[in-house]
Amino acid sequence: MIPSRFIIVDNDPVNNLLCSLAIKDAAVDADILAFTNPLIAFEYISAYNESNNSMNILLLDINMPIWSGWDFADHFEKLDEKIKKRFKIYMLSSSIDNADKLRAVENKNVVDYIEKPLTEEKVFSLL
Amino acid sequence: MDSISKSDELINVNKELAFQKEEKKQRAAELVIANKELLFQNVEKEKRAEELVIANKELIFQNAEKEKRAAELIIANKELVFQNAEREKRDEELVVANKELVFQNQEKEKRAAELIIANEELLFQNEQKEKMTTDLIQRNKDLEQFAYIISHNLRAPVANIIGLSYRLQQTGLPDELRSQIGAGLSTSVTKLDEVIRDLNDILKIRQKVDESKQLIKLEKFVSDIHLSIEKMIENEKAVILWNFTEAEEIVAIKSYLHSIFYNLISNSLKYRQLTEPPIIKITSYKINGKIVLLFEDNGIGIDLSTAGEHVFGLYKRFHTNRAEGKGMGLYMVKTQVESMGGKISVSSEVNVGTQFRIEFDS
Repeated sequence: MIPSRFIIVDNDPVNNLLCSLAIKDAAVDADILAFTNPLIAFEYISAYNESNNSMNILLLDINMPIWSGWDFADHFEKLDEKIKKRFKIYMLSSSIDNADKLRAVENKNVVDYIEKPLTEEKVFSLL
Repeated sequence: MDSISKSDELINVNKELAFQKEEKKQRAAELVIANKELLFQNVEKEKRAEELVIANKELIFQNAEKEKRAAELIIANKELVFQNAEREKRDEELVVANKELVFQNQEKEKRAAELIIANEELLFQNEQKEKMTTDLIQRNKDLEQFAYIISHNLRAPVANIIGLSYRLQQTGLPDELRSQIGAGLSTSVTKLDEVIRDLNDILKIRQKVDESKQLIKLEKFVSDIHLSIEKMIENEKAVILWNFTEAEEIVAIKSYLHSIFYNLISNSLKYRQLTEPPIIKITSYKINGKIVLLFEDNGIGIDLSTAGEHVFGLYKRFHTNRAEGKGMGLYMVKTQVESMGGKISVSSEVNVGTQFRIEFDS
């Protein structure tokens, strides 16, 4: 199903720019929201109350100050099921380390692991 | 007259004779008795004599027995004398053997003393080896961590450069986007270069540098630093106090010590409480033959329960809402302290202050 919104959580604005371009190139007619502060991103998600069956794809960086991607996932776990099922989380990281990939795959709130940079092909594979 | 007298004399003589006859009869009767007595005594004497003969025989027999005993005793004596002689030989042999043992014991004690010394030497060397091994293991861990961090921090800007340069090759990019991409490329490349430079700086410290240790007088050292950052101190309305009366000087690499002081002081100023002027106290102590430097501030503190061992970690920051910084300052400080053979630790309370404790062998 086509997501209504892409939410990018990464403190690096360059990455956020590249992700927006890749998403637009994949000709996806979706909202794009970028957060450089994971705390604010989390506030947005916990206050999520759109009632229709919208689906949001969350692209989450691992290496961030204040909260890492793992911290974010841990906090996400504590949210209400109603909210949680509205979001599909993908870890998006520059790390090519197998340990990170494994950790993402094993986390029950994370759908998959994507290696930066995000490209249109990779966006297609999410849909 | 003569007839009377002679008849008188005859009477008298007759009387005398009659008397003597009587006397003789008495005597004879006495003699008979005496004889009987003698006879009886003879019998008795013969009985006695017989008894004596028997007693004599008995005595002779006992004498013979005694002589036998005596002969046996002589043999037994000879035997004893012989055994004594043997015993004396044995005793002499024992004395010799004893002297031998005493000598061997002394030799053994010498050996034992030598072994104890050799053992202590081995124990000491073992301790040294264990220290070295622990050191090496820790250094290895540090290096592995370091390599991990660097490679992660290298890949991050590289991933961006890959994406951005791909975009640049597209045609028909709007000007604004093109310049955004160009700026992004420039930032990423600069960041990449920075990581490589950081790597170089850190490696320089890890290898023992040519610069040698010198005796540094702390009082002058710190007042020089204070002078050099006067402006910064004035801006923050900070107060820096120091007391080096217990340990006035320290042997260290001057540039490292400068970097350590500078980093710790500027951290205390950066992470100050906004509600009161920063107060930084620097003190030196001598404890157990080591020199200890204490840096205390009244800043915002670090939550050690979450930060824990990452305080001195590379590229780790805890208050990103405050000031710029890559998260390298404390990593450098720790590396510099350790390359001079010292140790650094931290204690802190959020919104109260932080204390860094640096220890050097003097």
